[in-house]
Amino acid sequence: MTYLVMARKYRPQRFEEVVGQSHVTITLVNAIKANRISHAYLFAGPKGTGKTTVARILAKALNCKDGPTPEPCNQCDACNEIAIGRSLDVVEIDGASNNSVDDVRALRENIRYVPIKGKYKIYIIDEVHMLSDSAFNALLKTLEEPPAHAIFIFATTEPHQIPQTVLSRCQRFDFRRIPTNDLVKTIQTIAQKEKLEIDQDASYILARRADGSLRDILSLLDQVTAFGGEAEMPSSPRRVTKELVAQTLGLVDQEKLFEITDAISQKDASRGLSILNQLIDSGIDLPEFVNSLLQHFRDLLVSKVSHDSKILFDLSDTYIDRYKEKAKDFSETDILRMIKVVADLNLSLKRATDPRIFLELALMKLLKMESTVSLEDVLNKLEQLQACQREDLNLSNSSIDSESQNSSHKSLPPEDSATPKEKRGFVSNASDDEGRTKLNAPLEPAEKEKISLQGLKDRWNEVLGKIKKTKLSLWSLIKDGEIVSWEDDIITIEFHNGGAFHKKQAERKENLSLIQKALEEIYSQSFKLKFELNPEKTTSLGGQNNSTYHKDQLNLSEAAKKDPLIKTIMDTFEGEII
Amino acid sequence: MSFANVLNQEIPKKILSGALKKDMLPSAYLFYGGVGTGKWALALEVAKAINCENLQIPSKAGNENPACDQCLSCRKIEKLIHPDVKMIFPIPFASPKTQAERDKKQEAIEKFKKDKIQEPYTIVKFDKNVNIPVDEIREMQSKLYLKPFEGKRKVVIITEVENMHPSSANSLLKTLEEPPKDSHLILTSTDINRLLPTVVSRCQQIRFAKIPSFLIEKRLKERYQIPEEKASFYAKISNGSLGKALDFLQGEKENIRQDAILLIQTSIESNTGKIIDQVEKLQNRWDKNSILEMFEFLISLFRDVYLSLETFKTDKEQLLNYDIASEVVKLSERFKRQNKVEEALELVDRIRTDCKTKNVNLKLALLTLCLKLRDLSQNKPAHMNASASVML
Repeated sequence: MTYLVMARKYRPQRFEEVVGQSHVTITLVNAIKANRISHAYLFAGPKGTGKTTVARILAKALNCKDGPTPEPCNQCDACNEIAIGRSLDVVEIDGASNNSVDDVRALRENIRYVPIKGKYKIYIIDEVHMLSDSAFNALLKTLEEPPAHAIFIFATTEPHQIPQTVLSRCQRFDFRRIPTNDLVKTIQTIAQKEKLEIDQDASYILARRADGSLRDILSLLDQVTAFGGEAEMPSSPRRVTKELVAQTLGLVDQEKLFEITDAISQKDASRGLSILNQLIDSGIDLPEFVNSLLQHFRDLLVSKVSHDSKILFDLSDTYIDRYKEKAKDFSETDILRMIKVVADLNLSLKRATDPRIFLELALMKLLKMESTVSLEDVLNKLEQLQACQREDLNLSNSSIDSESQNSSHKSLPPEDSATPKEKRGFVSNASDDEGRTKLNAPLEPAEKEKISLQGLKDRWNEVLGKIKKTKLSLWSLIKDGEIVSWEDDIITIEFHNGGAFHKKQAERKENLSLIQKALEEIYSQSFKLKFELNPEKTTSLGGQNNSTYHKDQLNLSEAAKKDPLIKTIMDTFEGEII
Repeated sequence: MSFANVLNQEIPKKILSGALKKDMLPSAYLFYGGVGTGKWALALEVAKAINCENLQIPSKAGNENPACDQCLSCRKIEKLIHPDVKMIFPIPFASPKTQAERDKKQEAIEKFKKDKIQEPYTIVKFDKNVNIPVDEIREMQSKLYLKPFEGKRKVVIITEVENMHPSSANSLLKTLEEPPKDSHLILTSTDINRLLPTVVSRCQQIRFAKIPSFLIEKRLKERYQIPEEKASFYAKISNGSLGKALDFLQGEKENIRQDAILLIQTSIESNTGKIIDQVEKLQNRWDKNSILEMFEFLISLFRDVYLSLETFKTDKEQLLNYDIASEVVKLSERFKRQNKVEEALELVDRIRTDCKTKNVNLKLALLTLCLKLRDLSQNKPAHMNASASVML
């Protein structure tokens, strides 16, 4: 006799044995008790959740010798015949093989005859979604008003393929995926009957893999017991351990995941590749590997952001500590990006013929990941530099086109965000502005006497910020100017060589009053303004602030030349360091 | 032949020999894994072990050889003439309409069997689209209910089930779940994602891993007397598939590879006119299967380029195409940036998938590929949506 797989051997025979579908079984039991049996049922739901099983139990419940009863005896002839599929009154039809109109016509012929032994003639049509359109239509009239003794039970995984007209004639029951805990409990009991001893961990791994299907988990258990689980003594139960399950299913050891994470944090491409190749050669299940990598990164993220280690999945304390330790190597955004890469990989693996290549590519992306973050900073800086340059260009072309100004500001988000702070007089640490906005404490109006030339210079940026808010074109003009002296309430602002245009524009009446207004608001004091040209200053970037900026920029470009990453960026954008 | 003759696959072997030993062989198996990894070979071994007249149950579940290979039953199965071991495989002209087509179908069946008897790892190729014949499935289902002729149990091996029409796959469901007693079904598939979940769930799934290249190398040297250097190269380039490595022995594959390399050289260096000429030539020379293989080479080549850009290494360990390392270096200098190579890789992969699964004009597909590769190598953005124009 052929071996009967566990999924068939332990097929539930009574309503209360059905796992995780209480909403269906209770309804059916109550319907039988109240004698309100419908003439057509539709059982829909994912694979391995018990549709065919419930259909058979229902058939037994109806045709049992003391039926209809909510509790079929499983002993009478009727029950036994149904169980082995020999009953003449319960016809189980494979909808996928008998899907033509002719099959349905034959069914309609036969349905008229009264049942031979039982009370009902029950037609169980499995995979009913495969019936052809015309077969469905041929069934409609019979389905609506079948003979009193006839009952239809349809089972399908794809109810959306069934015509509306059929759906509306059936009582529909939706089967749910079986919750993990229920799966675990069930295989624990079945394992006991099979004289197996299954670890908690092992059963959870199996349950997660089975994805809500009881048939799948039992088939996995079959496989694992075939693979190993030798009993030490013939009488003692065979053991199913976590290791055995991992080996059978080709799961990846947690250690390897940590090794890969190490390689990623150290950006060691060759080591990462060699670990990956080792894993592939050892015959791991690639999709499963990607899943566990995803899980691994997720745990890493959780241990980074949360102090409540309970959210971490079933991990021992040593592992939690390791995760916490490891998480220090990455920032949160890093991990999020890594998760994104792996999640994308999950999708592309499904299509790829050679998953290995895509896995390698993804690993390379992960290795580059952390630097991508700093790359972004660098890019920001580069962008700022470019924006600055653009402004200068605008100025030297004397085009105070506000539109182009606006566009160049858009690429300068840090500055925009910094300005409101300046305006409110807060201490702004806007570090991304390269120290251009080193601001002092908020101003106290009573201290006006104390304002020194240096103080004035220090707060000049605030004034600039104000002006920028009110008149952008003016701001761009005077931002190149430098305060050189302050005597008797007269501030002298010097422009570098070539600033004649700037000077002329700034001296216009409306502009002058604007600047004065801004100064007054900041210092609560009125000033007079004088603009001068300094022919000796020939650098294109004038002003103290700008010269520090310039210094920064020089440092930056020095550093940049050494950094291979920047080299890559320059290649990417065909740019040069300015 | 015995379990030992199936390369690698220790886990599947252990599961199967364990099941044989404990007499808990399930009624339906699904062997899945890459092409040429030994699914057919092991399925045949299982069929032999089930029916062997003097089965040597291994004392310990391991990799011993359960079947004797000597008895009549074993020899018949090896020659694929055992009446109780039924093979169903995808062939062209699966549902013939004319007598000519029926003849061709028969021819295809003969060819498949002949190739597989000679070497179970062979990848049998046809130049027409293949399908699993529906009537074979129906016939099998009706015959499954009969008692075995001479063997102990009936075994049905259905290969590449992903080529089965959904309706025949559906009609298989009931049989898979509750087959008649004393019968076993073994399905094999290279792409489990294309199967119906209901089919997969009804089988015990056994995963076949890639074969480590040193094992392939050894097998090539021992059984085919391939010189060391060549064997090691074939083993490496075939990326874990003995079937693909064996393909190289036919000679054609190497030419295909040469042409693939030529194709990429032309497309990054020449003008449009030359590219068109080259594509024309290739299209006349090779059939669809060969062009698909060409795409696979290109994918492996771009993989090498990508990795060499990343690790600055072009050694034998890392590269698949290590014999043309200079070409890899040249390409990596040309493409310069990883994301361009990645784009190229995805492009080839997508065009390959389109050519395989959809009705695509091969010449147009090749031309599009070349022109886009040229754009990528010149650092112009390649607009992916143009591949829609390839569709007919």
